[in-house]
Amino acid sequence: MSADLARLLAEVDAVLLDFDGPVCSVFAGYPARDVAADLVELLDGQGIHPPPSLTTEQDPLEVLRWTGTAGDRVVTRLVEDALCAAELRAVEVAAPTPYGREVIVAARQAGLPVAIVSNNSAGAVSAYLVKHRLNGHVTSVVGRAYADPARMKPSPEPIVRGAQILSTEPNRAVLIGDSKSDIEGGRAAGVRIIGYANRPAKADAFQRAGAEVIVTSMAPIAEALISRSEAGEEAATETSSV
Amino acid sequence: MASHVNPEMWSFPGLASQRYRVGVPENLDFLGQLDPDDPKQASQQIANKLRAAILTRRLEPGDKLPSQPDLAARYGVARETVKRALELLRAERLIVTRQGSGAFVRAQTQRAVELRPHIEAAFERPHVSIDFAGFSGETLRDALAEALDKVRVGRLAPETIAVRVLISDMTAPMALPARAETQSDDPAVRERAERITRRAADGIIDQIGELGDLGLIRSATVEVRMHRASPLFKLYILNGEEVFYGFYPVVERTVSVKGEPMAIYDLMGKDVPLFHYAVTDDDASHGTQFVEASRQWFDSVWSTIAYRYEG
Repeated sequence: MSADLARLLAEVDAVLLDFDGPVCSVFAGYPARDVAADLVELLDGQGIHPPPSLTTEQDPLEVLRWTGTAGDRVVTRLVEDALCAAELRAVEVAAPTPYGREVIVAARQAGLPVAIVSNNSAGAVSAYLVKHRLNGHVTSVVGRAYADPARMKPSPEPIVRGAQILSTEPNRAVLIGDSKSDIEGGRAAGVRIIGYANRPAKADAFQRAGAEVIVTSMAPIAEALISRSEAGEEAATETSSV
Repeated sequence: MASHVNPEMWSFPGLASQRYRVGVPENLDFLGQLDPDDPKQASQQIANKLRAAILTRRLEPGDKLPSQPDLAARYGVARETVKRALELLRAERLIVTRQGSGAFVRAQTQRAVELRPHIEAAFERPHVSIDFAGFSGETLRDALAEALDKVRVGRLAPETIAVRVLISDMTAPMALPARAETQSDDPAVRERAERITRRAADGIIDQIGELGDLGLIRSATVEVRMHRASPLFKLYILNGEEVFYGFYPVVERTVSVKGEPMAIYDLMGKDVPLFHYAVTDDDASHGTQFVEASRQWFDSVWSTIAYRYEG
């Protein structure tokens, strides 16, 4: 596994990171189901009554997605704005993913630019990065398209854009994600994919969805990147001493 | 052994390892003529012209300067006058002289703003004192190693050497280095820094101690003291009259700490520019005052919050 990881990382020039999962747990301190319930209530207030399945939804992004397919533009914007505001509050108390920071910093050390490609709003992602003094290590943030949930991952669009911003062909970029929509979107975009199975149950699903390498911790990615940057330093030293 | 070597002959010990061009540049018109109306001494004028040629790279590092008789003839002055001009440039470390071969433009290295040659030059004095304050003294250890090698073979022959090293005690909680995620002290991060500090301090102690044991010099002392402030800059005071000062920028890096990757805030010590200050004849000059303030600062910390390093 670790040999596969090292080989994959040796073949890419840029890193695309999903946010919720690989970098932090966005709703660790401000529960996602509360946010989802608030959004459902907001829809109720607009006279829109989502199906019973959505009233027990745990993921606010799924409420937004449904609203995009069912509601009109005005309502979608209302839900979008409410979700953006909730995300901004949530990232204030989000829990950093173990070794997530290490991966971002080690990628820069290895000379690989990093972009965040998230279904969360770019504003919330940036706020988190600034709060944790990580903004200097991240080249760009590609967030959720405003009030247009159909363009969220698994759409390949934000992933392709992330690679473009980092001036890389998709097949020279790796996406690290923790959900099926990352794996599927990554496949469609033509990037290399590392599945971060932060729950063991995800590993099989990632395998079926086509993740090349699956890790259960971010640590081995950071370790592989450190090795890569150390190898680079040695090569540079050898060259300069000639 | 040492008494058989004329120290002047080896004024620039780095020379042996550097490569110099054999030829003098052909067109020397840029050296110009003396201005009879210039009130400055002829030797000063000649030094100014040569200095300008070196600084503008018309005479490049490694180039051989015209011979003393040639320069004397060009400027219509006595050979002694040329000698004095070259002496000025030599003191400014712009040229090196090799007995029997002539004078050459010094091959400057880009790195570490010339600390090594200045440390070697400090060893040309009969009584050498070097004070260092900073993170670990790794650079000092390496620079000392070269100078001390030359003392061993008799190329440098000071009578006494006194080295003082003032470093941060990495066994104490510290703001830097720190764990990046929490911005806070972490014993595991400090352990890593402590190994580096210890290795450098022990290296310096061993080097100076060995020199004392060899009996080549009358007195060789080294003392290392520590304090609990974070290392944020480095300071070298050479013979109480020259100072090199540099900042340690804080950088974030992922390193392996006890087998686990960890993002840390670390200090970047290598390849930072060093600023050079020297005592001049003028008491009010920037250089004189900076050196004086540096000495005061060093002595104040040394004699108050610093304590002996137990190797």
